[in-house]
Amino acid sequence: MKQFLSGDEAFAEGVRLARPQVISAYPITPQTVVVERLSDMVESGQLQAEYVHVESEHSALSCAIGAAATGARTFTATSSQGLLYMAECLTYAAGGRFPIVMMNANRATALPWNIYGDQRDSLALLDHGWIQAYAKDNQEALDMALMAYALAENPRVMTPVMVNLDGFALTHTYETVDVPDQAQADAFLPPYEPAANCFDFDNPVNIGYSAGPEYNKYFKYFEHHDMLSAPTVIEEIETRFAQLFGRHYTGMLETTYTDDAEVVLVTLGSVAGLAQSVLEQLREEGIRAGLVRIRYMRPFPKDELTHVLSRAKAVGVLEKDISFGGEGTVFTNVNSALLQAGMALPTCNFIGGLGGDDISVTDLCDIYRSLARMASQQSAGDHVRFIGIDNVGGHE
Amino acid sequence: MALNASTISDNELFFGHKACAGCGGSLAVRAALKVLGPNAVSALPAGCMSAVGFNFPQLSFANNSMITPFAATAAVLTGIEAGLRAQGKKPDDCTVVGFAGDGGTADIGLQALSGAIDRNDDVLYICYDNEAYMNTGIQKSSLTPFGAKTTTTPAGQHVHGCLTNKKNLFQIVAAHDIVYAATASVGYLPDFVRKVERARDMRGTRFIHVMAPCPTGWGCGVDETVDIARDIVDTGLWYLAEFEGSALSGVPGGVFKLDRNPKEFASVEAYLKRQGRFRALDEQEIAEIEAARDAAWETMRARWC
Amino acid sequence: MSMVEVLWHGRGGQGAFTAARLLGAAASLGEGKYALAFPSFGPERRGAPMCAFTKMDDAPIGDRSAMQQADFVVYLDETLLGADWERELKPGGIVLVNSAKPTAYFGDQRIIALDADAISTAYLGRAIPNTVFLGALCALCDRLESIDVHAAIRQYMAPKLHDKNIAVVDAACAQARVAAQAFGEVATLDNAEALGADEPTPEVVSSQDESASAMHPPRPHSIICTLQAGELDPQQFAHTTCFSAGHLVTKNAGWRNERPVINGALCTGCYQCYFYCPDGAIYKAASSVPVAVDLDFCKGCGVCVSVCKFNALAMISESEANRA
Repeated sequence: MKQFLSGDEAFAEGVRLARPQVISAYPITPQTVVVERLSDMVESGQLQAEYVHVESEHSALSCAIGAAATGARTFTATSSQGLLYMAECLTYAAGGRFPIVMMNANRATALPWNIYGDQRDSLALLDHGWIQAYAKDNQEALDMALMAYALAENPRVMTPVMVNLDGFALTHTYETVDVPDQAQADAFLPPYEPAANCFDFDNPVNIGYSAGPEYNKYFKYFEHHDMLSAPTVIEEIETRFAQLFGRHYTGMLETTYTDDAEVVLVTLGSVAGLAQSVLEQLREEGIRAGLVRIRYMRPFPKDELTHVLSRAKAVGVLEKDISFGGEGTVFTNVNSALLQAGMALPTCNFIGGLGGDDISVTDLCDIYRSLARMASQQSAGDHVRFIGIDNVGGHE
Repeated sequence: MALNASTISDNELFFGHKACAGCGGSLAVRAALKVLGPNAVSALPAGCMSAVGFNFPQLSFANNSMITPFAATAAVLTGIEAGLRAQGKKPDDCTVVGFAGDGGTADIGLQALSGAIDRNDDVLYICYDNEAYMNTGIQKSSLTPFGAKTTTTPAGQHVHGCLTNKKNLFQIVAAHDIVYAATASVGYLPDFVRKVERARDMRGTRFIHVMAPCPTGWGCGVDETVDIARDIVDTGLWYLAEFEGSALSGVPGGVFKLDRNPKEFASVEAYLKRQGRFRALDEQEIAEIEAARDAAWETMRARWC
Repeated sequence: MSMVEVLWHGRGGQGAFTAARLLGAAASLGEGKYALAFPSFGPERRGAPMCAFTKMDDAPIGDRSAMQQADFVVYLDETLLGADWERELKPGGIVLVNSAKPTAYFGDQRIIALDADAISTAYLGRAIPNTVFLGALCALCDRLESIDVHAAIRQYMAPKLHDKNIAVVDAACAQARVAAQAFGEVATLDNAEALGADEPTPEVVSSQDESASAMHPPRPHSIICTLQAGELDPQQFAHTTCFSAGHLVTKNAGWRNERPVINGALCTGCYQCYFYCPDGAIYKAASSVPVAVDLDFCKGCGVCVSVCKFNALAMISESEANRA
């Protein structure tokens, strides 16, 4: 059924359709609407779940971990400082291989205190063992909520999934969303029945112990190894999803015009919609521009990415993130993939949208034009450029 | 039937662990699980009992049991209970129980504990109190008593150990109007076991604060654990009490009850002198400790008897 | 001079690492002298067997890993000296063991016994055997001078402990010189008796390594964590951190130097020892004596003795128990 929903509301609908049994969450802007809607759904009986009013994000994820250890389907949501506050629990959830789904409303991290959208929060926690997905619009957000459970609970994967929605640009922006009916959703996502990894009163288990150096490495190896199964499983899930719902998704990446593109911009999240909108105009100018949207940052789509970039002559990475003293985290990952594939081509990092700053059509056109110059000169110049910052000394 | 040495279950659900010889905490966990039975689901944060209890592949809990983030014992208990209930998987005789130390409870875990009590989640929280961060090697917690030497409150020429008084955890918990709270000591095991049994048979949040000496951290003989756990009660430096919240007692604000009210206290000085951690205390400091004890008992006797 | 490595065996709380550290400090005082000292990493539990390591060399030492074999292997507690002691000893290496028994008792010319408990008690008033072996190493190891050990003690021990421990080191050094002179002579069992061994025992076997369970009366039928054998396959266990509850792979072997013994004539069956045992190592037994001790898991704390009102339990030393 078509509804006009914000990203938070759409995601809440997706969670409702997934029928989680335990929801634990703590409010933080711009995530709040998700947990408000879910509270309403539990109150009205639309959703049969235990809703736990925890006293912090740390407890929100800890509660979800406890519930997951009983074999329950669980949900939590957070943002920014809240995500950082629960950071140590992320590694417990991932190392324990609990198939928890969490929505993160991408938001800037303090200081200065700022409630607006950027991706510094989730990208800072890229290495904590969670699968990370980034939605482009509210429909994809809803659909990712459902698919995230199928992915997390898949026995080959057994890894928690964080679905990221750009703060405000998605969470608080309304658009038309098709909300599937419950029967369809149930057909897509049956109840979670863990084969193992949960308490058992006939054959009791111990969960989440310590392991010394001689054993720890095996747990860590399989934590990595099993996450690498995600791309195959995502493909299977999206095929089934398309059969049931008629909406097609494209796996780890979404590409536009990359087949013949000379200059390609790699980005993630909602800004990809804007980037897509300038491609036609640039092509009329004679710039063979293409776009890659990373849908999953972990596992990192190394092979998929180098495959679609194989014809590019210059690559830019646009992200709302900076690893201070280094470069954008996505940029580092992209360069590493290119290097490993033996692809020597100029690359440049465009940092923008920090703390909710606008990225405009003009900015995007400028980015593509500078990529085109890099392609013709076969040189990148400054590798890290901040959008919208001129004449403050030290840059450009 | 009151549980005692003869009638308590033969099950050894916490067994084969690597706790120090004479560990009071391990005695508390062992005894509690005997009372709660094999369908208990236990959760333990980082701390002595999880470090000595589960080190793969040596897993010393025979019941369903898991480790939790340090600050999150109560939150994980909540999740376990909610998860079992949501799925209809909770056996009638299943107690969801946490075992956390003094630091894990009164310091880093206090917020989560407060949250669970506030929600009145159906869990039992047992704090085994050995009066310092023993797993990391004897550092001060907020339950370390005045005058105790720890590695972060050294007893030197200028300062004689810990300068703060033991946080009043029992009353902090009671102030939530929790269903049931109790204090206990592994020196008086029948009393502890009785309280665990009482707590087991109630619903809502229950809390037991059990004194559990640590010979390594306290500087006493490994065979003195039980004796010193009696001594601390007999001196009045610890007390055996219960709190029944308004839901249980029917009295607004709840009711405190002293389970042991010694006519005469055993010697505080002798208690302190038998432990290395109090060796630096002088007469005046010992007198201060006695005075603080007397003041506390005056209030308790006036209000809790 | 090549690297000299010392492996210390002790129980948590016996001061093995303190000795390893003092040794390293003493051996690196001089110009161009280097040392590393470290314990076996991880949670140390009082009473649990642990190791410490000292490496000494004329050049900076890059290898920070635990040694597999050492020039000197020290046992602060003789019950830790197991049957496979040779594995840890380099060719030409020496084992030093804290024991009241004569060196000949051990029947191997590579093992030297020192009564470190007696020496330390004489000077410190308590059996703290660790610094005794610093003295012994002064006598046996060319790298080490007692003057350097004195300096290390002065620098790293509390002032009130200086004089007594220096006296311990000097006394131990003198005794070790005597022992070292006799060292070559203690070659075989044949001359052991001549050298004063009151009881020749050819095998050095730690009493706690081997299961004593054959002698145990059965435990009552109950739920309990149990020892499991067999290899663990990472493919099976490492995809999750979820495993069978109560799965044990080790006993608490080697934790004790004393064990409780029950006097059946005095035992009334009150079960207080069982009730208060922190380890569940005492259990109700269907035998003539109402309780029994599970020596596979008893850590020798003695709480059982302290709570017995009928004097029906007593602690005896492991070596005494082995003789019996």
